[in-house]
Amino acid sequence: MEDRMACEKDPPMQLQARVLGVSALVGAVGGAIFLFVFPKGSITTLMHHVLGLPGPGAGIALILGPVALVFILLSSHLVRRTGSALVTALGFSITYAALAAIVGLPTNEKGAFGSLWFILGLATCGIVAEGMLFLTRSLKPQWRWLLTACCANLALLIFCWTVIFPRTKGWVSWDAVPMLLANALAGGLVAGIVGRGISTRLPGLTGPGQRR
Amino acid sequence: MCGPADYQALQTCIVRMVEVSAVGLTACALQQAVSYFGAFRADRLRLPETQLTADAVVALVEVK
Repeated sequence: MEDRMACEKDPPMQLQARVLGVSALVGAVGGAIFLFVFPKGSITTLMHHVLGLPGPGAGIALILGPVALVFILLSSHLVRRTGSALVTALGFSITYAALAAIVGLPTNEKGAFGSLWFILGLATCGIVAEGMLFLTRSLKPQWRWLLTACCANLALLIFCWTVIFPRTKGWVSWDAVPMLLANALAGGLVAGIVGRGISTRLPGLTGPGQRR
Repeated sequence: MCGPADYQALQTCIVRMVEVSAVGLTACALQQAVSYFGAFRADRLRLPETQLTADAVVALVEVK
């Protein structure tokens, strides 16, 4: 009860130790799982050689963005505080980069996975998710999550198109843009639905707080 | 096309995805089982209290 009252008294922008810890842990688990499940070459092969999707950016829109967003939304549900989405995104990307460097695993060069740009891209995704969760706070939870996931996934894709791919692969061709935008929206929808489905089975850790 | 195809990596990816899903489902099933047995135990522990209360009521009625 005291803990709950303490949570309600806290200023909204204050990142408490629990928020940092739980959010970073959820992000770190997500980053480790992503690194384990998707070895170098698997995403490119699936997207361009099996599914025949245009590039660059299909793997970001359909794999990296949705996987990261499931963990971001899950952490946001567990902690229910402003800042959790950004901390989770940073935890995800930094853990991925650190583990890949420590273990010496090769990563996707085209998407600059594990680089500083990769960390900045996921941070952008986390900031957009944070903003959308704040802007859509009056909507029903399912709509909030879907809108947040779609917008954050689009932001990640646009960041990669404008910042990462020009350095590694080249600018995306205009012909591929509509298809990749549709992929990003579809990936965001799936992430929102999956994240919501998992979260409804889990209780929050910090009481009602700012996000209800 | 972007980069060469690596079907070995894709196969590894699918196998690992299945492994991670299996671990997740097992954890979920364990959590369900633990909560089910927790509720079951709580019900069993509550039973003597109920009988005691009923006995107490009978005793009270007899006293009156």
